[in-house]
Amino acid sequence: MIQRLHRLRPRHALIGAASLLGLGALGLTTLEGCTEVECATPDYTRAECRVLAENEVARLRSSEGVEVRFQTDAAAEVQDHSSWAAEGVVRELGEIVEARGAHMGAYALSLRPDASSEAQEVQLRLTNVHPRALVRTLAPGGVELVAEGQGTTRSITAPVSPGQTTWVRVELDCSGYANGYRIAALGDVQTNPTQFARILERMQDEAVYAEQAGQLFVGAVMAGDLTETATEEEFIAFAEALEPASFPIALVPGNHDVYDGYQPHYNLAFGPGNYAFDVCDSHLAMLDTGSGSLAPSIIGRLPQLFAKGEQAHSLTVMHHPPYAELSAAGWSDEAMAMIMLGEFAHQDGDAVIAGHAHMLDEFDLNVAGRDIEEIIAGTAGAAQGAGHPLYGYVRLTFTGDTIERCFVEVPTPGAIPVQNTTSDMPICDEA
Amino acid sequence: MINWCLVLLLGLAPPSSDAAGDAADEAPADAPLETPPAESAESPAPPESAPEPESAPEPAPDPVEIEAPEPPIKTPEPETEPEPETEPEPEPEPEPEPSEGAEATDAPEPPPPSLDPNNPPVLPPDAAGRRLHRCLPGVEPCLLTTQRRLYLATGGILVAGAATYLIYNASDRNKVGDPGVSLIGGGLVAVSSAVIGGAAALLGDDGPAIYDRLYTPTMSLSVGPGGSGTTDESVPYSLSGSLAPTLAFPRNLGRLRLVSSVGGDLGSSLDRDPRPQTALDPNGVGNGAGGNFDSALEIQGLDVELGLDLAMRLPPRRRRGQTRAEARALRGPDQFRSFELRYKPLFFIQRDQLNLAGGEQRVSQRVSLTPLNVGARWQVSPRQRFTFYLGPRWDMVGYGQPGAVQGGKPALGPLYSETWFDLDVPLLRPHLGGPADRKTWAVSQLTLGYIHSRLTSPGYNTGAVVGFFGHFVVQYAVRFRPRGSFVAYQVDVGARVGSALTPFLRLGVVLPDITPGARR
Repeated sequence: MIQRLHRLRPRHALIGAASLLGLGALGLTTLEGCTEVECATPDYTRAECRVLAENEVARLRSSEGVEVRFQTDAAAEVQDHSSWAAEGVVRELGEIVEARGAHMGAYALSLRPDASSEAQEVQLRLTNVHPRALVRTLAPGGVELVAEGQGTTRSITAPVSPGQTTWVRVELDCSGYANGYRIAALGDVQTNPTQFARILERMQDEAVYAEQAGQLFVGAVMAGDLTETATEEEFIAFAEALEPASFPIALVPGNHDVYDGYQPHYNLAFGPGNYAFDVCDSHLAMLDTGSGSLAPSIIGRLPQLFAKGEQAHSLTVMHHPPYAELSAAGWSDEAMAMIMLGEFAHQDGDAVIAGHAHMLDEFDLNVAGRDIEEIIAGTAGAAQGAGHPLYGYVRLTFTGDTIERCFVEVPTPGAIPVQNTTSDMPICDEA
Repeated sequence: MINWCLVLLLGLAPPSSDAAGDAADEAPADAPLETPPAESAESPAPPESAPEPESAPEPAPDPVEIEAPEPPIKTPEPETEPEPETEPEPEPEPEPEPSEGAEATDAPEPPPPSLDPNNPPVLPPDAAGRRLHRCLPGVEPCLLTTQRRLYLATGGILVAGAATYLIYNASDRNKVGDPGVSLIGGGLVAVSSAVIGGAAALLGDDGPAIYDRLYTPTMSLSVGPGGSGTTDESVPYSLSGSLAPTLAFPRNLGRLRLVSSVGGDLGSSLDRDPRPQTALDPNGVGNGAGGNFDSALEIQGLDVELGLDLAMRLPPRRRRGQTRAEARALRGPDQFRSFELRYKPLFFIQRDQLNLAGGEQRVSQRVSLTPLNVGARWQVSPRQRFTFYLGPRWDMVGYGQPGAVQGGKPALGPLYSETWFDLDVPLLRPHLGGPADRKTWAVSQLTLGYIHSRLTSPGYNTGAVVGFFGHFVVQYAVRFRPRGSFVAYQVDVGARVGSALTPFLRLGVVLPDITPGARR
């Protein structure tokens, strides 16, 4: 036997090893006994695991036994507290329950103490709220309160009663602006939060310019890559950077925001990555493509997420451009990207806003017989390579049936503003 | 500066290299080199087998033509002038191969060199230098495969490095990412090819073209295993059939091969909705599959691929002082041609039937074209080949409800590229007999590839590099040919390596090439 082994040539050993590896690979994929339910062992680098996380952080059982849940506006309308929705993130900070709404559209919170709870009220603080949004509390017994606060924060002491539900509803009224409204779009901060701070400061002026033009500045959508390495410290720093903002910002994670397999830092800080909302006469679907594709369950829910109902416009925001052209910065699974584009076109979608590629680009696609505009706005500060970087944000102006877009450049100190972008998108007038 | 460690790693010539050839190649005429005893002990490679018997399959005219069964190369003669004392020893019995270190230790200590400043001693080059100039035994004209592997590795490093530099410096804004990433993938395969090829040479598996070497089976069935790591989800097995007849051009000018396959899922994949608030009653029967998450997505896919693969061989490079007639005279079974031009237009159709949450049904239909996909193949050695294709891709994205799918207009998509390295691995020891002496002849091939497309399989991600790369392919194939049979049988085991590992098993039948005017 030993002699036979000695006669074995290295190639035979290699062949044997390759065969064993191949057979092992075949076998491992079919070992049903080694399976577990989704995310039983958390790996938040997986998109599907983050779907679970974003829904779990949207509710909280407080230390006083009050169940605090984010709800859709539709659920609040019928006062159905049996479920909840990934519309934000709830956390308890001492005696205060803080709820960060994920977006600038309408949503609600349900506060329901369990039967044994002795809580009489909940100190609630809402963040990321539009300054013009109306925040109302509908307590049992028909008591209605209006929250107070400045900027994007509202505080309210909501009365609660055991076994009964108190509703807090957040709504933005766009009426009164005859010339439409504006949304800013950008993505990819990564290693340059300093430049992002300049852009944020410029966006503060956007509300003033919009008012002068008879338009409402609704807020900003950010297409991911808020951090470079997705550490908790980076997310805290980014959240602090958003503090001065006088407008709400709807976020999605990028591939740089989902590094950590053990903690869903993005979801813990900002809530969901997959959600949809209506604001003014637009429908926006925000999608978490941080892993280079959507979670399969989100693919399955696309008809609900893209359903625009009576809204005039439909946009979707994600980090990875679903159609990469020659940027190479696309989805890991192009088939899934094309399914997403197909459903978006099928639901009469208008425009896709993405980042990932650190540049400004804009082109039209014809998908399923319908033209879709794809805008790549990876201009929030991340390095853009050789040449003069083009930092800033895309201004989308919604007027009637049209969506006008232009680019607001925020040059670095010492740089001369550009006259034209490298894409077809024009530079915005100052107002 | 050449990294000699890399040379040593990549350039290890086969142990059967002919030392006399090395010496005659590199030594000055007035400085005869001593043939190291250790290397002279490594006799030239024994013939793969006896001369082809009449019962063997019809041989292709060119032994390095990858597609056709070929007769074994006869006992090689070194390309350079053989020295009498270094004639190949016929015995093929393997012997312990002394290492370089052992050689140095065993050799007698040389006399001290003379210190004449006008005539400095001519020192023998180091071992790495000799390897660089060593002919591959058994192949004529001389093939410096170590040099070729070094060129391949250097080229791969330079291309991948330059592309990486461009991506990080010119960056996305200048749209260098797509060609850059495809070149990085190709460069990685090139470097891996050189390393694996060098390792194969070190293990003695480089040499003349092997008899009946592998290529795509004429007809085959592929199976992809299913199974999911999630308890209540499912991934179906997949099955596809392919047809790839080959038309060989006269005078060994090349060949044209049909690329076609049709396949799909043997069932639907099932994914669950993991939202806790929509989970089914955990106290009930759950979803009937071991969990209580509701169904979210079912997909059943069908893939069709159709195309052509045209290979045109370039004429051999004329050597210095060689007349055209002499170059022509070299044509024949022993002629080694290094380059082939390739043209591989492809046409993909993917159709998925979707059952979405809430019972919504859809059909997604993607059509992709690569009509200008061109490339080249380089024969690094008769048993090692490096191939690269690159071309633009156009997509048409259709979608809709079943029976009402709306097509899309062509849109320029990401570049499409393929990079392949094939390594022939002889399975049967030649001194035990050739194809005529065996009931069944078996050969094998290791293939490493990179496909710059995320259309047919998810791309490879690492860290924050997400959505840039295509997928890699690793494959090992074995071909069996019964004695005297025109039909061979082939088994391929491999995997596509992207964000997921997708193994496959392919069983194929290999028929002779279609040869116009060939006499039966």
